[in-house]
Amino acid sequence: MEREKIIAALETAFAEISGAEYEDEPITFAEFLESFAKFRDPDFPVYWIPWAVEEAVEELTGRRFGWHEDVLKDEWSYTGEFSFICVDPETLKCLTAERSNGSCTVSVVLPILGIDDAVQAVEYFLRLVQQA
Amino acid sequence: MQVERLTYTDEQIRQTIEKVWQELLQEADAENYSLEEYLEDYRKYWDEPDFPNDIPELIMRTVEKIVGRPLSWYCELVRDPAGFTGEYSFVVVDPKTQKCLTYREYTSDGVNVHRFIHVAGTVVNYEDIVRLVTKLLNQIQSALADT
Repeated sequence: MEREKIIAALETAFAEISGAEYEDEPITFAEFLESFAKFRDPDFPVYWIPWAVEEAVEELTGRRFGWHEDVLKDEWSYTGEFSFICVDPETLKCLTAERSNGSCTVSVVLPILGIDDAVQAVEYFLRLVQQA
Repeated sequence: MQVERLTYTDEQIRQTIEKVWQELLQEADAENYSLEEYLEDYRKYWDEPDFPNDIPELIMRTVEKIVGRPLSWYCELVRDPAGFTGEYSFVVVDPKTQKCLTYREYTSDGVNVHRFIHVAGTVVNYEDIVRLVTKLLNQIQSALADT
């Protein structure tokens, strides 16, 4: 899928999620991510990042999924990594589950510190949906 | 497909929690540390980075023992700006089928569908552990019955 289309979906999703918060001084998702990468402010509405990725995936596939997301932190601040779990509501299959060495992991950890990372995260989920 | 039927009683859950706690102690080479004592420390230090939080492992090993086989799971320790809230959010997946066993959906107003893939609960004391194990078992039982 074209990068421009993914970025447009991410920006639309972010505008919906952030709502009235940045109405006076609108910022793009790319700018929001830059700010997050720079400051890692603990008061930052950091969940908007995985939510924007998830909504963009749903918008681009025309389908809804079950999601769980976690913002990873170390002792001091956000690491810039996000843990995602995605479930297909039709089959109840956990799309992020992966078998390796006899065990099965449930979540996938993706770094998102810029718009390129966000695009890659969306592309990753689009591939998962396609494979399923 | 054969449907697994889970049978468990409150007493069995409590006994299994104690058994799993003993296993965890053995693995950590920490003898004579009762779950009661651990929970006292847990309430004091749960947000300290060095504090070993054994609650997710204790809960899920108990669930696995009662279900009778290993499960794949993810646990989020829920935080707000002030730190860890004491709430845990579990996503459980059947490793054989990769089916999410904690998925539920509700429809509000006959229109909006709300999808949840996790089961959550706050753990402050022993009874909270029993409650969360029971909640997870009930959900898993219902998911397996739907298979």
